Amino acid sequence: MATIPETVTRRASAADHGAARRRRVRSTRFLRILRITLLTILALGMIYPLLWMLGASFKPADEIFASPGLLPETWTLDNYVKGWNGFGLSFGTFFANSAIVTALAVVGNLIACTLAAYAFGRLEFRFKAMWFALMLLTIMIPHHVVIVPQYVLFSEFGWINTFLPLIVPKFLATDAFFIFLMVQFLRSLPRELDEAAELDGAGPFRTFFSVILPLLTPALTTTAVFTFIWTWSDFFTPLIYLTDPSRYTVPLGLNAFLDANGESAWGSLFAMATLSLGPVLGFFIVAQKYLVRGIATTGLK
Amino acid sequence: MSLTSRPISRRAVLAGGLAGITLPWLLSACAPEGTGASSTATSLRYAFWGGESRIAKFAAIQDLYTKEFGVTFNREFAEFFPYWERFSTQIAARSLPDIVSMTEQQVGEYASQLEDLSPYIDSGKLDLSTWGQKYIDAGMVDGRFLQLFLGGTVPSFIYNKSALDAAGHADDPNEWSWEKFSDVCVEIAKAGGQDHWGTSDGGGTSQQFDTFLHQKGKGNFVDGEIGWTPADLEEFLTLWADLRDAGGAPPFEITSEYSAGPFEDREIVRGYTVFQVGNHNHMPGLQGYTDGTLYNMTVPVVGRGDRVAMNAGTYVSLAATGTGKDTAVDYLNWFINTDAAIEIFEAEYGGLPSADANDTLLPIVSDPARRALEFFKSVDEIAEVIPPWPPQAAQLLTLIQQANESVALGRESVEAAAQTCFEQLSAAVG
Amino acid sequence: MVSTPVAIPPTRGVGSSKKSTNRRRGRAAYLFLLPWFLGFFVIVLGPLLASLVLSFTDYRLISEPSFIGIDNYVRMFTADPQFWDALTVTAIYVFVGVPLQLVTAFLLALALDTGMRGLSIYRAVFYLPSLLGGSVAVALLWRQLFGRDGVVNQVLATVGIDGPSWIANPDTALGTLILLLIWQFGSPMIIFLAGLRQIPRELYEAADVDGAGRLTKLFKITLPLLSPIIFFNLVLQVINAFQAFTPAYVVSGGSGGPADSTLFYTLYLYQQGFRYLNMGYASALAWTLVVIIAGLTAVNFLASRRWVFYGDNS
Repeated sequence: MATIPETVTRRASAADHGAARRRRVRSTRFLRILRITLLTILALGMIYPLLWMLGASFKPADEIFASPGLLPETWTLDNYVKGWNGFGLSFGTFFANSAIVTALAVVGNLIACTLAAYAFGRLEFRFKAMWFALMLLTIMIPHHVVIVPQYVLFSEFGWINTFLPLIVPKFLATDAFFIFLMVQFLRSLPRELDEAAELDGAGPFRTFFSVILPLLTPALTTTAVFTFIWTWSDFFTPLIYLTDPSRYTVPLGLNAFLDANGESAWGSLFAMATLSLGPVLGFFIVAQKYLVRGIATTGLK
Repeated sequence: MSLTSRPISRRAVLAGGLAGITLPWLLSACAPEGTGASSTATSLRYAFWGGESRIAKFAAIQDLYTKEFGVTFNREFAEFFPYWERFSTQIAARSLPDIVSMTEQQVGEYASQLEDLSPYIDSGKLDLSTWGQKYIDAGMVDGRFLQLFLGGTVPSFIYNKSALDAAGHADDPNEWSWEKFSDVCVEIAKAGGQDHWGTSDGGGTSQQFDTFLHQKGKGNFVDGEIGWTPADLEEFLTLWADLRDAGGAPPFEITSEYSAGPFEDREIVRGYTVFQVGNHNHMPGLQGYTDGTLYNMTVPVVGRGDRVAMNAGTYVSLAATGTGKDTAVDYLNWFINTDAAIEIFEAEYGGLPSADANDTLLPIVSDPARRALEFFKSVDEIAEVIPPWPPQAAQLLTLIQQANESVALGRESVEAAAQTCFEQLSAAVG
Repeated sequence: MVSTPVAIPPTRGVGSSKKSTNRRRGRAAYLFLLPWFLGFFVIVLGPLLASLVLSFTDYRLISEPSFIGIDNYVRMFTADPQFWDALTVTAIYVFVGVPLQLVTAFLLALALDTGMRGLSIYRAVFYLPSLLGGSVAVALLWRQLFGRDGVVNQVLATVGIDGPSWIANPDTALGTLILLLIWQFGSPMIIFLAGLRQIPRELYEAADVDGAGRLTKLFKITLPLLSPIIFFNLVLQVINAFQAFTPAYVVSGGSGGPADSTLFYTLYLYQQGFRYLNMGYASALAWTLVVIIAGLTAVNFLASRRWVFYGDNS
C-alpha cells in the first residue's frame, strides 16, 4: 500500500521564501502563456472536424464533397429546413423522445448506481467480494451477444416498441460502469467522516444522505454527464426496441438520412447532427458548475 | 440467529431464480413457430430499408391505400445493415413485422419464418398475370413461394458515355468482349495520366463473379450449392489482377477508400474512371453528381461465353407469425398492379417484373431513369434472376472481397486466394 | 494536515453494540443493493447465462440451438485465422491507444485544473469530440481528414510530403482509429478533473507553505490521492477499448477493412452473430473476450495494491 503523504513540518526561513516567490512569479507567467498557447492550438485542432461538420451543414448538397474546405462557398439554410422536416416526421419529435429517454436514464442511474456504490464502497455484507466481481463481470460482457436474449426477455414482458427497455434497466443499476466509478470516488473519502457520523448516532442511511452524498457531487455530476451523452447517442438499443418511427430517438432519425445504395441526405444529416450536439453540450456546460472542489476536510474539523 | 443457516437457503433461492429466469427464455427461443392470428387486420406493420426518398414514396403510396381501403400502415424503416440487425432480434423473438422486405441472399436463411404465398397466387388473389415467368420462379424456395419480386437491378457497369466518346470510342460497349474492354480501360488510363483509370475494381464483387460464371453456364449458387470451382475463381481474379497491373483499374488503396465512402463520391463521379462497377439502377443517382451522360452496359463477355445479365431483386415477404395475411396480400396485389402506385414508386428497386408496368413508367420518369429502364428492358431476354441463396451463403460477399484484397495487396497468389475462398465458403455453406 | 488515523474504539451509545451495528449495516446493504439485485437477476443474469449456454451450441436464431459441446471454441482457436487477426488488431488498439489517451487526458486535466480564465470553454471544447462518439457523421469526418485528398494530406503537402490515403492503407488504417480514440480523451479527462477537484485545497496550500515545488506536489499529493481515479480510468478504458465497436463499424462501414486491419474483436463478433447468424459462435467469441478482459482486470486489481491509495484506510 502506498505511503500516506506526509507534509514537512519544518518551516522555511523568510529569506528563502522571498527569493523563491520571485522566481516562481517569473516562471509562472511564462509557463502560463505557454500553457494557454498550447491549449489553444490543441483546442482548435480538436474541434476542426466539428467545425468542418458545422460548415458542411451550411453547404448545398453537391458542394459538400466537391469542396472540402471549412467555409461554404454558398451559404444556405436549406439543410436545416429540410432536415428538420425530413421524411414526414419533425425532428422535434426525435428530440423530444431522446429528451425523455435520456432524462429518465440519468435519474435512474443517479439513484440506483449511487445506492449500490454506497453498499459496495462502505458497507459490509456477506459475499461482498463475489458480488463485486459479478458486478464487474457485467461490464465485461460484449453488448451484442446479450442483446438477443434480452430482446426475447423484453418481448415476453411486452415492452417492445416502448421506451421501457431503454429506461427501466437504468433504474436497476445495470450500468455497472457507474457503480464502479462511484465506488472509486467513495473510497477516496476518509472513513473518519463515517465514523464521526456514527458517533453522533447516525445509521447507514443518514450517513449516506447527509455525509457522503454531498461529498460525491463530482462523481454524481460525472455520472449524470456520461449517462446523458451515452444515452443520447445510443443507436443500437433504440434501433431494435423502437419500431415505430414516431418514437425514434435522435440517432435513429439521423441514420434515416443515410441510404447506402442511393442518395444520402448528407446536408440534412450534418445539419441535424450539429443541432443534436446542442442539448448534450448544453447539459455539459451546466453540469460543469457542479464539478466544484470537494469540501472533504470540513468533516474533519 | 446464526449466519450459517442462511447462505444455504439463499443459494437455493438463487438457483431456483436462475432456473426460473433462463428456462422460459430458452424455451421460448425453441418454441415452434406461432401461427398468425386472424387473417384480416385493420393495420399492418411494413418494414423496409431506405432513405428519405424511399420513405416518402412508401408513405405516399400507403396513404393512398388507406384512403381507399381504410387499412393503416405502421412503417418500420432503417438503413440497410441496421434493418437486418433489427430483423435478427425480431426473428429470435418471433415478432417480425407483417410485411418484410427481403433479398435473395437472406431468404434461404429465414425461409421457415416466412409465409407460403402459393395459395394466394393459385386463387388469383395475388395477380401475377402480367409478370414474366422468371420473376415468379424467383420467388420459390424449396417449392414454396416466399418472396414477391418488387424490382430488379442488373449488377454490371455504369459508364460515362461522354468521356468514352471523347476517348474515341463511340461504339456500344454492350457489344464488347472482355479483351476489348480491358484494352480500352488501359488506353484510357494511359491517356488520362495520373489519377485516371479505365474502370473501378470489380474483382471483389460477388455479383461480377456471378455474371462471369453465368457466361459459362455456371453460377454462384446452383440448386442450393456452390456452383463453381477454385479454378473459376482463379480465372476471375486473374482478369482483374491483370487489369490492375496494366493500370486499367486502380490499385488497392484507391478502391478501398472509395468503396467505404459515400455513394456520391465514387470513382466515376470524381472523374477518375470512365466505367464504374455497380448496379444499373444506381445510375440515375450517380448522374446527379457526374459531369457527362451516364449509361448502362452488361458485363463484357470473357472468352467464348454468352452475354448474360443477372437480375438482383428486392422482394417482400409475409411473416409466418404476422397478422392480417389476407389484408397484406390484398395490399401487395394492389401495389403491383395499380398504375397510381407504380407511378409513385417508379423504379425505386429497379426494373419491374411486368413489362406493362415498365412501359407505364417510361414516359414519366426522368431522363437518366428512363435510360436505366430502357437498358433493363433491352436485356430482358438474356437476363436471369438470381435464385435464392442457401443459408450462410452471405459469407461469399466477404470472402471474395478478402480474396481480391489479398491479391491486390500482393499478400497471396491468385491460386491461394481462390482456394482459401472456396474452402471457407464450403465450410460455411456445407 | 492529514495524520495517521488511530483506531477509534466504538463507544457504547444508547442501545448500540458492535454486533447490532454490523447487522444494521448488513441489512442496510441489502436495501441499498436492492435495485442492483433486481436488475442483475431479472435483466442481466438470464441473458448472461443464456449467452454462455449458447456458446456451446449451434444457434441460428431461426431454429433451436443444438448442443455441440466445445466445437465453437475449438474452431475459434484452431481453424479461424480471422479470430487471431481480430485479437491482434484489438490488442494493438488497447495497448497503444489507451495509454496514449489516458496520458493526454491526465495532462490536460492537470492543465485545466488551475482556475485559469476561460477554463470552462476549454473544458467544453476538449470534451466536444467525445460527444460526437458513434455518430454516423464521424465516418465522413474521418475520411475528410485522413482520406487521400483529406486535410491531413493537404497540410502535409505544404511541407512537400505526398501522403497516402491513411484510411485505405491497411498499415495505417488502425492508426487513424487510435487517433480517434485519443481525440476523444474528453471522457477520462472529465473523470480526472472530477477526481482532482476532490483533493482538498488545504493540502496544496500546506505544501506551498513548506516550500514544496510543482513536481513534489504532483508526486506526493496529486498522484497518490488521484490514484483510485487513475486506476478506475485504466481499468475501464481497457475494458472499453477491448469492446470498442462503433469507431471501426462506422469508419470501415462494418467491414473491418481495409483487409481486416480495423477488424475489432466485437466487430468480428457482430459480423458472426448478425451478418452470418452464427449466434452460437458469436457467444463463444464473447465469452472468450470476457475471460481475456477479466484476466487483465484481475491483473490490474492485483497490481493496484502497490500503487493505489484509498482514503478510506483500507
